[in-house]
Amino acid sequence: MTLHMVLLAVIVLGALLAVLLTDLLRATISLALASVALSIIFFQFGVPYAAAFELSVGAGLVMVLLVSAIGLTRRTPPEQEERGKSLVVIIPILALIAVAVIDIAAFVTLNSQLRTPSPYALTPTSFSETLWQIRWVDILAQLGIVLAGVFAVLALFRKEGGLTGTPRDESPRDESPADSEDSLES
Amino acid sequence: MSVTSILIFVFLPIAGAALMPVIGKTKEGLADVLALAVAAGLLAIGITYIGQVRDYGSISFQLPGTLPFAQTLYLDSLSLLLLLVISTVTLFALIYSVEYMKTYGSKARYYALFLLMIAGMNGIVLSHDLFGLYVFLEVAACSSYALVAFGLRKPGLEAAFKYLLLSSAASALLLLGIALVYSQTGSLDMKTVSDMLAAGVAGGNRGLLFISTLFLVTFCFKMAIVPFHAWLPDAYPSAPTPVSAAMAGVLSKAAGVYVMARILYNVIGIQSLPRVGQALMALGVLSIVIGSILALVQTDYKRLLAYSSVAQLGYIVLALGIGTPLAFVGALYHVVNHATSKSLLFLSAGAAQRATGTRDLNRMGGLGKRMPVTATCSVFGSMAISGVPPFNGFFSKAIIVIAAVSAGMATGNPVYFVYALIAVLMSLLTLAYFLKVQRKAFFGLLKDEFAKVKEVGFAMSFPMVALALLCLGLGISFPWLYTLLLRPAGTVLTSLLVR
Repeated sequence: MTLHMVLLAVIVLGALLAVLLTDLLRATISLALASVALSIIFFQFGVPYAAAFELSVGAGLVMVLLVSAIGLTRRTPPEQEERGKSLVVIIPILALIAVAVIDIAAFVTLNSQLRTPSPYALTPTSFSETLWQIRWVDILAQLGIVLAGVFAVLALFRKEGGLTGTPRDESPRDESPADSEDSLES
Repeated sequence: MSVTSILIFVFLPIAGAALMPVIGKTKEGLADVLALAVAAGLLAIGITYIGQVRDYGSISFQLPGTLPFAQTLYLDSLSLLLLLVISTVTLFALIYSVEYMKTYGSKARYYALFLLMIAGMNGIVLSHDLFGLYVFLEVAACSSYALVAFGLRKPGLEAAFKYLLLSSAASALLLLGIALVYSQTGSLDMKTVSDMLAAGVAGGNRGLLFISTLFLVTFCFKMAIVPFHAWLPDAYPSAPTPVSAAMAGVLSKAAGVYVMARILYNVIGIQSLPRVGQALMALGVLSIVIGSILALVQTDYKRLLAYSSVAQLGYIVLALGIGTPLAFVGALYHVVNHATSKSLLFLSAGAAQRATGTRDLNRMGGLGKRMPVTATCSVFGSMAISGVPPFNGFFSKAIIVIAAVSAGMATGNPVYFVYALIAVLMSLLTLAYFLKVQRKAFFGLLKDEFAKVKEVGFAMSFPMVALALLCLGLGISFPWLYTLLLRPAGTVLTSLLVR
């Protein structure tokens, strides 16, 4: 129980730091730390496949992808970082507090039921059968998430038409809030 | 047609998105063709299923394995209605994108993300498995985060970040709710879960109430119902216009309204939990009032439309909370109507902004003289959403008000009458702020700076005209629509899941 509490604290701390730290590399390391703690919890709960995936993908592959993406970025001048800081700090903390309160409420409300094993035990199936036969639509959907991530990185780091490159239409425009929206329009 | 082909609603857009980088590099314009072909194909396939679902009631596709854990895709009248709405609105948004997105660059990547958002929405409305539903919600959400930020302007990036954070918190609550359901029932299949919860597995009403509250909060976040609406007034205006149209028109319906109705009424069965219904009605009315008042004071065209969405989704939530068969028909009809009219209004706002370079209503004026098609379409959309007969919004709002009054008369509870009165009064407020839009943007004297403004091209005006005609047609054809789609879809919600 003590180990679980420590690991949970590491996850929360790692996740918070991942959002709050302005140094992207340190934020990525914090996220990886949270993933490692989560994978240990998975091992403790007797779900080695989930633990192995969390360790290899969450702490491994994602880390590599993030570090590669960070390599493509340029550091924002400090004064620009300051402007967005309040939003970056307040929203994650509020969101975390809300989710934590609800988690605790769930534990308190359903405590007795959660300690009782479900009478509807599953028929045991092999991992590969579960993944490739009876849940393969999940795999298709996860392919969709991976593609969304890839296209999001490609789109948001594009040069043409983006902040980092030359817009096609360079006609001047004012910067009133209602004009500074979506596009690079005339 | 094989029953397994309902998978095509998910597979086709994902395949289209995967092909997009290759196609986009071969020849300019081919990415447009692929995106439009996929969207048109999905709509055509959806239409072919109307007869099958009417004849057989439903079509299911179950992966091999023992039922409590095996994944099931299921197409019934409710799913079909949503599929048709998604396919129609996204097709028109993509046609509009052909011209509108030229200035952004990276069109192939934009289409890929848009198609993935469609795949996510289609998966949501087809999945009868709670975890599958969660994964498809994330497909749609991840694509929409990137699409909101696609313009790469600072407001868009900030709005996308805010949307991502709040939506992730909502997703965490959804996952917690699903985990609690699974811990109590040992199943993720909606039908099995529904049967077990009805048998009192989840610790009776107390456990069910808690799980229902988790789901309720999640979907209110996804729909941006007051007080969970903080992300929306930034996200919709900051996104490229076709994305705003698709998000306001269909994403909020698939990821919010549909899932809320399906889980609360078909799986959990909140008919036995009157407090959840009361909470839904209260949240709905709060959204109607706050959304309408905030829309009234806006001078930013798209921000006004965003707050208007908050109010209109309030009508749908109010109807879902009333929970009678008539109210379900009203809610679903308003889903269809809001999808068409709000998409139309966003597209016309985008056209006005493209021509003038501003979203500030105080800087516009007299555009109707130079942009008659856009102005006429905007008038159609405004009248539809304000509930002016014979446009579609009149009938759906009337049904919701009648359902509230009927429920009040049946139960003797005066709250229903108060809610009905508020719904009517706020509808007048809707008309007031859309009249303001018309007066400030399209009527009055044409400002000198806009003397050379021109009407948008065919690719942008065609979707607006088509949606404007739909707003009128869906109103005039209400009896036919009711028999063909709305009544069967509403009936699905009146009981726990039946297969």
